[in-house]
Amino acid sequence: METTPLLDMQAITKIYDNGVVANDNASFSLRKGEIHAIAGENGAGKTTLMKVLYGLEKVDEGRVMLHGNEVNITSPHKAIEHGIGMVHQHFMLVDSLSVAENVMLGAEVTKRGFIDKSHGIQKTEAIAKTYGLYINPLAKTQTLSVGLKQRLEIIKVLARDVSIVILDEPTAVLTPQETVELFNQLKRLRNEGHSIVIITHKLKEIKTICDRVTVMRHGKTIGTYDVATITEAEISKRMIGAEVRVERVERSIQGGKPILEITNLTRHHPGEPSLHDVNLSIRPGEIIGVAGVEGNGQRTLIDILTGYASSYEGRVLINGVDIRGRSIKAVRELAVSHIPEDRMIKGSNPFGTIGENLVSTTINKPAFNRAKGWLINGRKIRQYTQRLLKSYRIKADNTDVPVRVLSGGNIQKVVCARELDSQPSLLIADQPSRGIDVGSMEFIHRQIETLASNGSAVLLVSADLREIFRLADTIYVIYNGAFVGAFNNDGSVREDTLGEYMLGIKRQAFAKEVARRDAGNAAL
Amino acid sequence: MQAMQRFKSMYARVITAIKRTLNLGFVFELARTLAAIVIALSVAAIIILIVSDDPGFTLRVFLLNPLTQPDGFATIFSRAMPLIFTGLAASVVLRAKQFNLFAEGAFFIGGFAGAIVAIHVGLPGLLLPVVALLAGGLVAAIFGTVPAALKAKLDVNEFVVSLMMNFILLWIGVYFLSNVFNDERAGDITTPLFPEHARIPYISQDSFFTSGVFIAIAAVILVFIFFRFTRFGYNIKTTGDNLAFAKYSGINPAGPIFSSQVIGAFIAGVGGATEVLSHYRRFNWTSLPMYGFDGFMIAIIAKNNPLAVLFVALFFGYIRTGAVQMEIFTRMSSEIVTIIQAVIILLVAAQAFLMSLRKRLMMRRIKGLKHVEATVEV
Amino acid sequence: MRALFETIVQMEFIMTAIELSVPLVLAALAALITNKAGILNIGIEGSMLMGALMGAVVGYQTGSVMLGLLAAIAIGAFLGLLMSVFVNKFKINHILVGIAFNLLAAGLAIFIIYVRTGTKGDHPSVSIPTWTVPYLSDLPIVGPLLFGQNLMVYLTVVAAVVIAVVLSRTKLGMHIKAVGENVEAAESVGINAFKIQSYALLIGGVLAGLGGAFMSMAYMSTFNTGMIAGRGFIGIAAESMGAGIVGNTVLASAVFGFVNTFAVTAQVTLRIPFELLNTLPYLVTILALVIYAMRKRRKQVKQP
Repeated sequence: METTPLLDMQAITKIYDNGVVANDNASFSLRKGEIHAIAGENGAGKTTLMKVLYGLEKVDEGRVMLHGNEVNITSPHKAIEHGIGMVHQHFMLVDSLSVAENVMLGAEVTKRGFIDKSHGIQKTEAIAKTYGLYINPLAKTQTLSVGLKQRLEIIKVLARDVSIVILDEPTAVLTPQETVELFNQLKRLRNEGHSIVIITHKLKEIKTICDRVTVMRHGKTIGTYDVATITEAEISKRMIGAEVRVERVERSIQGGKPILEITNLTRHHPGEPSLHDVNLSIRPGEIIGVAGVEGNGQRTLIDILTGYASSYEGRVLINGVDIRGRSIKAVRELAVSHIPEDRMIKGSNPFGTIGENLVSTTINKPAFNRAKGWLINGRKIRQYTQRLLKSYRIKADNTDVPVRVLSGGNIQKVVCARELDSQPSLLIADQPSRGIDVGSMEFIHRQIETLASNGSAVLLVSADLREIFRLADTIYVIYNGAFVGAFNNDGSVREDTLGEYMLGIKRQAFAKEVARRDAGNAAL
Repeated sequence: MQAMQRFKSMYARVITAIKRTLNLGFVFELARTLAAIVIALSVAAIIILIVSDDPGFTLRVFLLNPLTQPDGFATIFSRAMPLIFTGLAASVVLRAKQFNLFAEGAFFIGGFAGAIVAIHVGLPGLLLPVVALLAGGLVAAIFGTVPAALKAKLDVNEFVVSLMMNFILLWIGVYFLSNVFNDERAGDITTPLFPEHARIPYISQDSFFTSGVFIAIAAVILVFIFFRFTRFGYNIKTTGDNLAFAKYSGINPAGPIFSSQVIGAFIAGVGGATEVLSHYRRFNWTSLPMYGFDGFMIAIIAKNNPLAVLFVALFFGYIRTGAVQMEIFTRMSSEIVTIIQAVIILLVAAQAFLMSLRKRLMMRRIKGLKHVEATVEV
Repeated sequence: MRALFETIVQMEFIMTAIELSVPLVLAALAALITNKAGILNIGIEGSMLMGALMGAVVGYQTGSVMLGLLAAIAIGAFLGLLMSVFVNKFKINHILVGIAFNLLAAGLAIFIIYVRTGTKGDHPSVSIPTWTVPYLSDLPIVGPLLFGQNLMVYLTVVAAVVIAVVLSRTKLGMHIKAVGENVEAAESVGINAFKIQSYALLIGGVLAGLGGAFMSMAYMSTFNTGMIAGRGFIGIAAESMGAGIVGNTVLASAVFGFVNTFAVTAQVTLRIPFELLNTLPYLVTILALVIYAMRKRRKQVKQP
């Protein structure tokens, strides 16, 4: 450009304490009066880059230039002073306070020692008027809808007289109508001279309101493009990238009755992604991969299948048994195993020993008890867990080591050992190899394959296409809570094709019959 | 020959068990606790230096008398006994991450119930104290269901409810003591004398070494077994450590949340009854004995480990014995121990205390490990 | 029934009830402001005891009521700040700090009394005067009620009003509420949580110290190691019952004060056992908590 950009982040590198490289020599520049998208898959480093800018993360290398001068932003307070505001993905609001009070929080104006309430109300109304962000300044925050809460967050940022507004996935929790409203407001902000950064992975949004887009992948910035001159498909290709294809090992799928049958599954719940009319069946020995960008209903699907979410429409049969009304435990009793997405929260007890973690779901088994179930059979459990420690190659001296001292890959092996060794008839694997080293990943993939070869059904949910290609027999793409594509994983489908479905550019005419037929084809 | 071999294998097992326990974390925690004790004792010594006319003598009496007096050890154990019970009770409750202070009220009402059974239930021989102790535990457990059920079912803050329960039970107890079970002839608010065979016997008549200490130690072993070898213990521990993981594993957390609090109340109740039937001839408590709050502190210092509870309680028994000795032989108030206890508990609980040192040690060790894996983000 | 009525309407009863409400109101206000900042302060009991002790000791030593009161305020403030440091800087659970403070205060009070007097019971103190407005206090009923109370009674009323105003109208109050409810949100707009919690605990400590001083310098003119007798805990109970609203909290503490007075008098005149009446504040509090919880649950069920 002919002039110096408003903001220029140069060669930013950020390595977290656990060794994860979140930003690798990333660069970003923002012009005055534009709406600029930062696009990329989850884990691409978008949010970290913006957190660096907002003073929430300390940068390891690189510098931030504002109006051509280098600035050192060490806290949100400093960022606000420099005219940078951020609307977080999770709202930072005090629910019991009124709208105006939240707007002024930390920047209250006082009159003779007391808060000038009318000032807060006037300021809120003034911003509302200027930017079309209408809201009742006296309403209690806890009574607001999600859309209004977000509007309040934007007003809060504007009340601090910032010129740069960062929004982290602002539409993730909004209804389509609310999204349209938000976009109109953002355009108005731009016209008033603000510069806006939107973190997103939704291509439609980029096309609708953004002027430029910077694509990130694996912590690096791939490039910045004028939205007018780039197609959605091209953005998608740059976001997903062309990875080295891992070939699937051929397995034969056994025939027989399906282990998992899902019919017309639908769930709408405020504050979480919906699920619309999902149909799926998995037969013994089959691995179904569900690919999609996070937040498109995968969590909802898994919550229903594992007994976490009890209210839904439609039907789920596992080995012919309807799971409606079953508790988490009762679902597990149908020989269902679950590798959860977050190994440190759901997947393990970091304070417990490896041994304790390995038997958490099986400790009630008669084989592990004695004295009529009153006591745990310590020796049997020790033998069992020591066997798992060896066969799953968990790197630890013994089973008495607390899980929290292990590396991510080894913790995930503990989770897999517990979930796979019971030879479940259905395995639900949610991002089973996220954030772990290549060795552990390959090991876990082979274990899942072996399980399927022995006749189990596997539902693999992942945002990582390499993992999907490596394991799945059939790939379903989930977008906005519905399946929008089904493909046989026979080498004919390409990453960028899947990417277009994942990002909502393409959609198959998708009905139950299609799903059944495709699943049927996969078997042949 | 066979006995020899069995002994050898047992020996080997014990050694591996010890080695397992003596990892860096454990040793460090132990060192941290010892450092806290040293600092606390130094604080006490400084106060004694300021206040006492003859600080050397006072300190000597305080620190050495419990160990050198003929019945010193017996007194230490006797003073530790109620603390062992309440410390165990608190440790069970805290294992499930429940902030329930009911051990205080449970100890009181358990003692009262035990006394009433001892006086008014005619049972022969050993049966009487046994039934009295169980009654103490049972009554306490029944009252303990109130905060437990309210938390498990309605998510009512167990901390406030248990605090309120303590005072409710105190006043109910005092009411029954002065209106129903009062011994008119005694001239004070107290029950009649316990029948002699209801009392928990002293081991030797000239010291206070009551056999109640063995009941306390048995309780330590039982709680140890409970957490080591039973599913209920495992469920309580897992729920306390990571609620989300407990649910995921199929545990309904309401169970452990409820049972941990009731079990805690039972242990404290048995403790109260044991204390009353060991050290008293009649029941005459008209205020809360404060052992429950002590137990809470002991459990935290002991990191909820039952065996450690035993040792921490014994240490508290030791400094309290020393303090009483000091009060008898010098003009120094025994309440100085509360300062020592407070300093220890605050230092041990302070996560920041000596933590930077630990981090440095850990880092050195991690660097020494060969199999450090680079974590790659996918 | 008649006897009951006659007991309650007696002037002496009402005056005593007001007096007995003072420490409870102060304790409840202390609990309220710290609770608003996100700290369940069980250490109020200990702060009250130390306030009572320091008021009596310094007041008696110097012969000055003013200095005694200042000492009670100072120790309360100091303990509040100390608690904030332990909670925020040393990262100790606030309930544990409270328990440790209470046990320490109970021991320390006896220790100090023993060092000073050689006994473990009482310590002489001074009396905060009653503030009588000439002529007005001679009016029937209204006179003594409004114009003939102990200074501390007026001070308590002022304190309640000040706390209400601070919480609803000032920057500090706004920040206290924000920190107590959502620390992350507060810190994201540049509020220093440690500073705010320290202020709240300091104010709470001052109130608790004053409540203690009332016991040793107004209700009685002597200090006794057992004189707080759970009043700090009743304050916490009243705060839970008042659900964090200043007016309701004061009302709840006043009701508990009346019940307390009634327990003392009813025992003599009506033969209602005072012990059982003493359980009332605690029982009512549990009941209130249960009702709140059930209401909350019903609301959650209603929301889809």
